[in-house]
Amino acid sequence: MQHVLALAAFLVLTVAAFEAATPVHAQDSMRVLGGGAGAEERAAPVAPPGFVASVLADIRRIQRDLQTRLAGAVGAVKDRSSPWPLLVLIGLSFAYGIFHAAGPGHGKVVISAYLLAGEEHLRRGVLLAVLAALLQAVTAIALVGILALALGATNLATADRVGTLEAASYGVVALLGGWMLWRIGREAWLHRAGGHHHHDHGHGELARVAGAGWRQAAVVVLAVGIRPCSGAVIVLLFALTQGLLAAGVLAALAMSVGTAITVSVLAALSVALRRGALTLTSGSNRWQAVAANTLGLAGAAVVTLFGVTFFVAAL
Amino acid sequence: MSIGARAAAVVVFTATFLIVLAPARAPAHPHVWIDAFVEVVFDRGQITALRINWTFDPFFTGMAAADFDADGNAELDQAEAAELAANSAENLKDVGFFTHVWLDGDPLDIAETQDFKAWMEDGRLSFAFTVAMPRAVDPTETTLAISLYDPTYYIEINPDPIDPLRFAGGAAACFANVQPDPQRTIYFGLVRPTLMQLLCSTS
Repeated sequence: MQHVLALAAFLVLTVAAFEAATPVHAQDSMRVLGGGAGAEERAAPVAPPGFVASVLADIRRIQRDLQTRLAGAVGAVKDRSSPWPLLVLIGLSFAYGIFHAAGPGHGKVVISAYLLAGEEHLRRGVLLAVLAALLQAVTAIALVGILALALGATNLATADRVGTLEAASYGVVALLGGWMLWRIGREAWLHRAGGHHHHDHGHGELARVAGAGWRQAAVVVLAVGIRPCSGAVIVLLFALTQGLLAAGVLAALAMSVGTAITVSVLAALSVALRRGALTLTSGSNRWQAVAANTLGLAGAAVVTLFGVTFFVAAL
Repeated sequence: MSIGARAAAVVVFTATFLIVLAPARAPAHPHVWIDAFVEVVFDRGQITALRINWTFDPFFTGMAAADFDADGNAELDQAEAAELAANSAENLKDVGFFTHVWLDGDPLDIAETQDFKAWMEDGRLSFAFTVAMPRAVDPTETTLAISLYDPTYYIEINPDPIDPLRFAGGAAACFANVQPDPQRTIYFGLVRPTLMQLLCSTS
């Protein structure tokens, strides 16, 4: 088992290094087309294997196709004689969300690493992912409502604000990671320093040790959710230009249900992964504690590194 | 637990791990799409300029058109389009107009463009602008290569799949070699921008 844990830790660090090496300021490109400062060029050092690239290329093609259809669907809603265009818009938004969430900015890393660090209940893990996705839609609606509707900001400036909220999100993620590291690290140290086995430690206790409390889960939802879904922002702004705010809100919510599904799948995998590791080591309390602590520290480290790196890059 | 079951569990464990974390930030995610083509402007057999043509997707069109619709008549009229063009021409300087040009492999520094125009056509916003060559280029001696891309991949620029490189001013003995760039990638190595090479013979 030692090897497995060493391998897992190694993978975590590799992924963390990959994440750290590749911050991207994509939002800036929107800016240059409308008004404001320019984009920065960044190197892309690591290439994933070919089959991953081709699957992702397919996802991009599907996403583009869906987005073109979405634009047409929004336009069709203007015809109010039939409810069908609205239903088509909602359906397309939902489908778009599923593929859209494959892209960056939907909290997949943060939620996966957080759950890996300390969640063994599938339902709670999935609930966390769903709430984060829904909050992203609510934030998108609030952003567009406040900036574009109430304050009269331009569409391109409003879309650009996603970057600001993204920076805030990374900041909260970094704080969350630090807090997780401190709690999990302290527990691990106390157990070690105690020098005796806690035979009464079941999964539930380990989960508590790792800090799977509701308050911490709420912070995760908040950390991910304060960054609005960029797809929802764009569909809302476009719907607004057509004078169809209500349709835009419905589309944004439908989209978040789609993104929730994608992120939930990853959340479920993370929980399963943690449970698998604890089951594998169930023969020995000592090894189980090692597994729990390793996943906890690795997950917390990923959350921290991810948050700090992207927060600094976003400044 | 038997060795076999344990080994299987390890495989599942690592595979799941990779699925969960590895592609998490990698999938590409353009939000703006541009259909593009390039006109190569010839003067007496020499290349003097490139005219870049962009047509935006309906979403970006709707958002940008509404932003610059000063009189609120839901149309982008000539003066409003000129304002949008002037803004974009200025801002796009910072990113080299997403236009990458090489003369025999040496990159051209694109600081300025001419005749930057914006207009609406069939419900979509289009831009066109001219990149002047620093000197007249003899295409039979110098290989011209063009690639249009946003390195951050927020914008995906797609050259026309049928006719991405067009010739103006007469260049019968030239053809376009269009392929995914064998050298350059963007977005975590996931995307190869389209490289358009102009190959001309002396006859």
